[in-house]
Amino acid sequence: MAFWIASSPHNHNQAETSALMRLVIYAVLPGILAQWYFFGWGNIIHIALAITTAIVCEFVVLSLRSKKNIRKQLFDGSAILTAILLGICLPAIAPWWITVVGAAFAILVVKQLYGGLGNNPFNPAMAAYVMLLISFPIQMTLWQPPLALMTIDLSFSNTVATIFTGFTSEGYSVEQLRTSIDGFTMATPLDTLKTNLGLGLIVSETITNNIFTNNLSSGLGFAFGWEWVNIAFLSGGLVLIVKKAIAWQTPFSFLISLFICSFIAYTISPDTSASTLFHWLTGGCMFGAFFILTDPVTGATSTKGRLVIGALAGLLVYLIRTFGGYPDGVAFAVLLCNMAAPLIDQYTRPRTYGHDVDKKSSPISDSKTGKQGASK
Amino acid sequence: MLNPAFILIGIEDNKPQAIKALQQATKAFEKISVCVLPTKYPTGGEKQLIKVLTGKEVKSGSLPIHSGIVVQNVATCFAISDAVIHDIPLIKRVVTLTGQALSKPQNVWALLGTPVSYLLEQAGFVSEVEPANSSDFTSPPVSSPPVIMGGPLMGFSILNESVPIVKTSNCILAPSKEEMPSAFDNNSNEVECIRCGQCSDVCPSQLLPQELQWSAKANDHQQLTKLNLFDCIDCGACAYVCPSQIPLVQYYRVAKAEIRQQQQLDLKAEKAKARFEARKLRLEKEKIAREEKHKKAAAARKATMNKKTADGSTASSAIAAALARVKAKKNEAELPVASNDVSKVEHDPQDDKSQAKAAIARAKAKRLAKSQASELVVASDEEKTSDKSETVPDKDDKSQVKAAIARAKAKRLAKKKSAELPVASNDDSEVEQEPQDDKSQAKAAIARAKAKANAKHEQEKTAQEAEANDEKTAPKSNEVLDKKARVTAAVAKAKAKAKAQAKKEQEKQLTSTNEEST
Repeated sequence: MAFWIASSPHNHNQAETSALMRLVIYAVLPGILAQWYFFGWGNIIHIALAITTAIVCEFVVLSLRSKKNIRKQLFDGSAILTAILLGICLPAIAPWWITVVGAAFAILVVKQLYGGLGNNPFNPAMAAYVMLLISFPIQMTLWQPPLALMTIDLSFSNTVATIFTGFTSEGYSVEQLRTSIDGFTMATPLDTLKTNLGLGLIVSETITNNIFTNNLSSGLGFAFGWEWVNIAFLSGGLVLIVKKAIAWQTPFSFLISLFICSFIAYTISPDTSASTLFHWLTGGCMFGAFFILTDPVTGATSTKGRLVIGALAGLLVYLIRTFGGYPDGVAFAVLLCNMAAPLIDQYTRPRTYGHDVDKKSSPISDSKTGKQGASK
Repeated sequence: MLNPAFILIGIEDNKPQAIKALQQATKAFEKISVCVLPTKYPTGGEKQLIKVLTGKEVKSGSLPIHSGIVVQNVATCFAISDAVIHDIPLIKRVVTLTGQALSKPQNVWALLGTPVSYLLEQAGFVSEVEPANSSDFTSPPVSSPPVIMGGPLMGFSILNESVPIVKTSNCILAPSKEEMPSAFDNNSNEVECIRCGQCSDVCPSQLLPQELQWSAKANDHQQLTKLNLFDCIDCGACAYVCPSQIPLVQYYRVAKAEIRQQQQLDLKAEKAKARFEARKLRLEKEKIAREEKHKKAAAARKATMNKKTADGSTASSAIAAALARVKAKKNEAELPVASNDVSKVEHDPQDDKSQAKAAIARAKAKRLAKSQASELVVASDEEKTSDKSETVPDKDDKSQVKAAIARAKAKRLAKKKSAELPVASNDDSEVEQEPQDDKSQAKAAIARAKAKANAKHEQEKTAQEAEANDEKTAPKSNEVLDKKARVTAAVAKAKAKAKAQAKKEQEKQLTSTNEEST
């Protein structure tokens, strides 16, 4: 009787990369639902488009690279997750080709050109987002007001029509869609804040704007819709941490860092600085903290490194939001951190067991060895 | 005996009964304390246990004893007590038989050497893949589920059931497919590393398994050493948690083996180099010493030659030598007739097609001398007798000068021969042929070179001594008047030496390659 031979360890906890990816996808669902609730079908359509494009691109590249087991690699969830993350970031009524170009760029250039899963230095979704933002600034700032503030009823079919033709089925243009009840063209809260601050208004005046005030969060100074989307992402992220799918260090240090930065600014000059909670709950803050920065491939791997990279990202986000040319800086901050990650990893290597043993224990061993040597 | 300061007994917290029992048993001893440890793999590792119990870390590359700590597991303690108190040698040990493929999992006392098959039978081993009676080895190797000796993470799967229990076999694990599917799965499900870092979170040595893995795949031994690969204890925790199912430990094992092999090779090369250098140095010294000797010999020769020229017995110029050669040639015709000597017969097999002209001339001259001086030349080196004997046949039309030269040559050769003989006889292989072979000087020199090369160092030395003697005797015998002869002899010697040198070089290389190959 001959037995089956295998190398140890013989057991495995049966974790799989694809399972990990699936878990992240589930965790992002609350955020998507919140987006859907406040901003309509747009993002879901974009996500679907992005997934389709990403899978096609991934398949093409994997075939070209004549990889084995394409089917398994195709559905390991990484491409799908990238597409979902990209779709979430895009403005809901952006034209369809934005998504297609973005997803193709993310998969073809950012991911596969660098060697595919595990080898890409940049987060594909964020790199694609930044590429789109720089290349197509007009389409990428087609932010619509939350549904509750819209004059036109944006149904599913209307959204589809807008994304693919630029007009709703009733013939309203995208520009008309973006006009809110009071006739202002809408922008994201961060954008509005930035513009108004640039116009010399102070924060308290700015937040009287329609986009900030509504029956849900009036007086709190939050941006309507956005805070719930962020809270949804936060809850999803917390689930991931509990499930140990992501490390807690990165989001934790990111949020703390952003909090400290905005708190300092708010204390010094409350009139020209948004509150810390505003910073936490607008834009892509929570989304970035829990779903983008925690991307293991492009992040730091050691515990210390994760803390450093989170803090760095928080600082960068705050700086870009406050002093940069773009209203939100999560994507840029993430890319910058991606670049810094290998360096951070290099300098945050944990001390290996038995190396550089601290002085507390080394004299003991030294004296012992010395005694032994003497006795010999 | 040891009189330790403290005895700490570490037990994982999932064994409350054992904790209780030990606490009861050690109540009376204040030196002994029972420590309850969290159940976390691999706390059982020696260094990990020390860290958990004492908070100290054992320095990398040193043993716990260097920090004044000795770690023993339960089985060892038991064996020690058996051996010291009860005088029972280590002939048995507790073996845990477990796994869902066993119908009666149990702990047994097994004698060392018990085949695993017997224990499996006792425990009711149920083969899932095929019935257990398929004992023919011609069937494909995978005829039975894996049986692992040791734990699930660090144990090794055994080849067949006749493997015996040894001192370290603590467990025989026969898992079912549901229990341990990856042990059944020979196809690697490995996908790319996504740097999730779970491996470095679980690593008990706080290594960076993901970076080690990249370096191992890239065969970057330098980086692996820098990342402290050798602090890896093969615990398998990283591979256990890896979501990409990378067989990390396997990569490390291969890398470790490669590095060790490389280190050994390096060490060997280093040793060989040192040996080579030493040899080179020695040869250099010997060469210098030889040259010194040659110089002395040359000086002595010169002195004697000057004396001789002062005597004016012969012309030492090259012209005279050439003349001598020509005349010797003329003499050749008469030689067969004249020669009816024993010694001549001995030397006769010499082939007349020798390469160098000088050699021919010398040989002929010698033959002439032989024919004339017969036994006397061979028997003794004394010049006077040879002179006498030569004067008798010299009544032919040959000139006095010629005769003298020929005699000189003959003498010199005879000397050489006698000098060579002991050297050659030292040799095992070519003794018989060489001395008899009366070929030209060059040939003889080659033969000598060969003999030298074959001889070991001592023999080499004797050869050199002989050579030196040869050189000393040569000038001593006053017949060394022929400059030409001397030159050719020197050339031949030099050649021989060069050859010997080359031979030595080759031999050295051979020996070094031999050493490397071994």
